[in-house]
Order: sequence, then structure tokens, then C-alpha cells
Amino acid sequence: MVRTEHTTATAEETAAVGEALGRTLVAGDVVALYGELGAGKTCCVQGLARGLDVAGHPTSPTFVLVNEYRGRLPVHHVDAYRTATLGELLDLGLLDLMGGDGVTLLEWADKAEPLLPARTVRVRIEGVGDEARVIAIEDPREAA
Amino acid sequence: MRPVFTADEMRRVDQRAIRELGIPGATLMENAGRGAAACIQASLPELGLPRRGVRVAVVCGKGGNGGDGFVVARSLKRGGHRVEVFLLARREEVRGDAGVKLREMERRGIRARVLDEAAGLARALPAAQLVVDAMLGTGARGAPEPLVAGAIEQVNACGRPVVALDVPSGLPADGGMPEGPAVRAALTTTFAGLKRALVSGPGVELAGRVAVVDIGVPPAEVGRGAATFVLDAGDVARQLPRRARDSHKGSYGHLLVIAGSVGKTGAAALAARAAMRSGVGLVTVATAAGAQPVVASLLLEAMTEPVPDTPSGTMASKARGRLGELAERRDAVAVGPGLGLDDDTQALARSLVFEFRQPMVADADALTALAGHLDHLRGAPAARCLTPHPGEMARMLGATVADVERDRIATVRQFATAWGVHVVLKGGTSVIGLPDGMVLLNPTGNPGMASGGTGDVLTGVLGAFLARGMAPGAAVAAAVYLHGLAGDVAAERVGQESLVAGDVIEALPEAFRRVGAGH
Repeated sequence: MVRTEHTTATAEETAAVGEALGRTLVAGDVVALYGELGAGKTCCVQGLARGLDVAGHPTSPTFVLVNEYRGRLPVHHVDAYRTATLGELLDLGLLDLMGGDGVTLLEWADKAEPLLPARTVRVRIEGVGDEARVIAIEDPREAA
Repeated sequence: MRPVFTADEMRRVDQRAIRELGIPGATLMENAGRGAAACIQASLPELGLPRRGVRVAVVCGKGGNGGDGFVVARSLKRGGHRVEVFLLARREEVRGDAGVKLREMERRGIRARVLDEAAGLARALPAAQLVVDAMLGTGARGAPEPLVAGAIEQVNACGRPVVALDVPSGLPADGGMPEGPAVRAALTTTFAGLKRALVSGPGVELAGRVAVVDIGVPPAEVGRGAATFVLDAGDVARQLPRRARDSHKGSYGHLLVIAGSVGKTGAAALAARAAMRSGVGLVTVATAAGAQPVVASLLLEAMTEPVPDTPSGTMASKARGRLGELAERRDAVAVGPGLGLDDDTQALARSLVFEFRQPMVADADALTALAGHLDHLRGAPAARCLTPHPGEMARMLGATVADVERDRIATVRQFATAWGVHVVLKGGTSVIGLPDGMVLLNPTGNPGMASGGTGDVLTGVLGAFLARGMAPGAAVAAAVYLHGLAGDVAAERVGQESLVAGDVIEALPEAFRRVGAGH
């Protein structure tokens, strides 16, 4: 398990942390994002998408639950904010997404905790509003 | 349900009796010795001895257990027996109440023979017909000193039936392994209440039949503050709901069994058959689609439902929606037997255990799925009963089997209270933990039941009781007791060596009859 911590002052810096992580992702990886409303999870996802060579600008899929992007790998962007149960996430096919050959980016991951595979990379963002953000990354994948 | 004590708890009972109830310690000792003597007198036929004139050797230590022995010796002599007393200490080492009882005994014409080496017993014991072990009691700790250790070996070697006072000497009262030699008794007369070592662990074998002797402390006072109890048939009979003449199959609940995968169909069938034998009205088995034809062929009375499966033939997480529909109209759920360890299946198992609104028993592969996620159990919307064997318990806790087994009662009590669940730790003496911290020990069952599938049978019995609407604590206690009793009935029929899970199911009707259920 590799743990790293970053302090960011702007949204662009938060996205840059995401982008750096995004470049390391390979097929089957799962990134779980945690943080309050307004912490910058979606901003971090935009950076992750950039690191995966996704063209365009992901937005939070709060109403559709799952967005799909084409990058150097298929990218599944899941937002668990509006799901109430693990059952809903399973019905949605979350396990199939995570077990497939793409990359899964999961916002509000605390709602899905018991379903996450052991290799899940966890990104916790602390701080809201104008505050600086502390981004802690726990990465259990084998060091490349 | 009888309370079971540790040495410390028992000492507190004695202290309260002396301080708060004003019963002198010497009176407690007198009551203990007289009660034990009466119990021995009543047990003579079962020990193959005449009712009068028995040559009895009483081997006494220098402490309180020896004091009890002096009273036993005096009482048996008055009852017409020929008594010899051996003391493993000098007279002046026997102090306090025990010293008082030694002098009282000697005034009645029984002279204690002081031994300074155990070899003295080798010559004397074969002349006796019965040996009373009054060497070490509940308070003893660690390995016995050499003289006592030698005496214990002589007592075991003499070939005469042995009655132990309070606990067999050398056996730690709290249930651990003896650190030196320990007495093997035919009968143990224990004082005021059961000790842990007499109902669980190696002591069950060493103690022989156990009789509790009243020492004059009121039962309510003895039981005050006790948190560990041993189950009996009466507890089970009281809890089982009666069957009414005008009832129909819907009156007895509908159980959903979620179990089985390709190659592991027997587990699902055993759980379902055990449930049908346990008085539930209806059973539906939801199983991996690829396994369903085989499961159906093994079951006459239960319905089966195929649900989507993974390429490896286990239930898929996308079966969740269908399982939710099935559970909606059922009274309880049993999940786990033969489910499989596929990641997808394990995630499914977690979502069922954490979210289904029905009372549930989770076993086997469903328990493995909970490792690392136990905190979510607290949020489960209905009662959860977990039935791990020591290996599954260790996996759930991220500990070793040795950690789990070191103090089974403490392990179970902590688990049940920390996560608010009912838990059964299977093994020699199964230990049941309730969310309020109460622990129940099960006296039924035998080593022959350590064979594949018997756990699936327990899952089925417990699921049936939950579906019948029993409170979860009562359901767990009754299921564990009856499952063990059915195993004992099966062992009478086929022997422990040949016992298989199916025999336990076939013995359930007789087990129900023996506890007096259904009348």
C-alpha cells in the first residue's frame, strides 16, 4: 500500500493531482473518491479523465448514475450520491463495470464500500469552499 | 438455563454470601461437604457400589477443598461407610475454616494420615472402593506442586471410581488446558453453581457426571450478575411455538434459502431439508441457475428458483434484484451454504446481509464475505445470526484460530456486543453470544458431527425457527441445542465414526420428541 498526500490551493491543482494518478491507471483499476459536497471530487475526476486521454470535459453523472467516456481505455464514471443501497448499485451492474476491461471512477464511494475490490485506489479529499484541499491517496496496486 | 461461573465470579458469590447475607464461611463449607456426601450416597448404585459399608479414601489438600473433604469424610462415616483420610500437608498448614473442619473430623474419630510423598497412596488406594478427590478447588492456579501432582497421578492410576469435589484437581476452573496432571472423575459434585471448566473444554471429559450442590446461598443470589449460562432441554421446549389444530402451512412461515453453486449443490439441499424437518411451513431455495436442476432433484418438499450466475457457476451480483423480490414475501432468509467465493458472489452476499429486511442466518461462504466489513453489520435492518466455525470466525476477525480458541466465551461475547448480532461459535461446546452480552453454552453434540454438511443442517434449522417467528435469541438457542441433540441421536444409531449430515437431519424428529416439543 502506497500512501501519498497532496495539498492543493486551486481547482486546477486538484485536477493536476488527478491527472498524475490517471496516467498510472490500467484496465480493471477502480478509483474511489471520498469527500464532502463541494470538496472537488468531480474536479479530480476531470483530471483523472485527462490522465486517461479522454477528450472533453466530464461532469458529475448525478442524474444518470453512470457516464461512459472513451480514452486510452473505456472509462466508467459512477456517482453513488443518489443511491440508497448496495442492492441498487449491484442492480446497476457496478460489479460488472469494475470487473471489466475499463477503468471505474466512483464518486461518493463510501456508499459502495462493501462492494469495492481489494485493489481499489482510494482518494480522500478534505476541505471545502476557499480552503486549501488535502488529498490523501491510498494505492494498494503493485508499484509499477 | 443454569448459570456458569469463572473462579473469580464464584469467589465473589462466596464473599457476598459471607458479607451481605451473613453466612459464615465455615457454614458454607459444612453445607458443601454435607451436600457432596449426600450426592455421593445417592450415586453409589451408579458407581457400582453397595449403599453401606463402602471403603472410602478421601485425599485432601491443605486449602478449602481439603476442608470440604474433611466434612465429606465425617458425613460418610456417619452414613455407615469406612473412611480413611489422607492429608497432603502437615496439620499446622491447614488453617482457617479448613483447620476447624479438620479438628472437628478428628474429634469424631477419623485420624488424617499425613503424607509427605505420593508413593504412600500407591499402597493405600487399592484397598479403597471409592476415592474422593479433595485436593485442589476452584481457586487453584498453575501446575500443582510436586506432592499434589504425584497424588493426582496415583488417584488416576488406582483403578477406583473417583468423585471430585468442586472441580477435578489440576483442572483450571475457567476452562483452559491443565498445566500438569488432572484428576479423571466419574462424578464431580460442584458447589453453588457450575464452573466453566465443567461445561466446556477438556474438563467436560475429566469431570464425568456433574452435580451442583446447594451450599445455602439462595439461587437468586448465586445467579445475580451471571452472564454465562448452559442450555437445557426445558429452555428449548419453552421457546418452541405450539402447533394449533386449525393451522395451515402458511401459519409456520416461509423461509428463503440462498445457497448453492455448480459443484456445491448438496449444501443447499441439506439446509433446505433440515429446515423442512424443523417445522417451517414452506421453503424456497434460490440457487445459481447452473446448479438449480441438481438442487431441485435433491429436494421433494422445497421449491427452487434459478437466479443469474457467474461464468464459474456461482450466484452473480446481478441476481440481487430477483433475490430481493423473492425475499419480500418470505419471513426469514438463510444465506451462505455452498454460495462460493467468487468476488462477484461475495459482494452479493454482503449486500444481502447488510440490507435485507428479513431476519437472517448467515453461514459458510457468506461469513467469509464479511471479513473486513463487520462494521456494516450494525446497520442491518433486522436480526442477524452468524454461525461460524473457528476458522470462519478467525477469517472474519482477521485473527488466527488460536486467538479465537484461547477464550471462546470472550471471543463470542465481544463479537456479539461489538456488532449487535447473534453469533454461534461452533466446536466441541458451541458457544452462543447474544447482542446484550449474554453467553449460552450448548451441552449437546458430539465429535462425530465434525463432518461435511452438518453446519448446513444448523443453518436450515435456525432459518426455519426464524421463519416461524421465534425471537432471534430463542431461535438460535433452540436450533443449536436441537442440532446437537439430533447429532447425539444419530450417533446412537450409526456411531460417531459413520455419522454424516443426512443422519443428523433424519434424527431431528427424535430430537424434537426428546425435548418434548410439539405436544
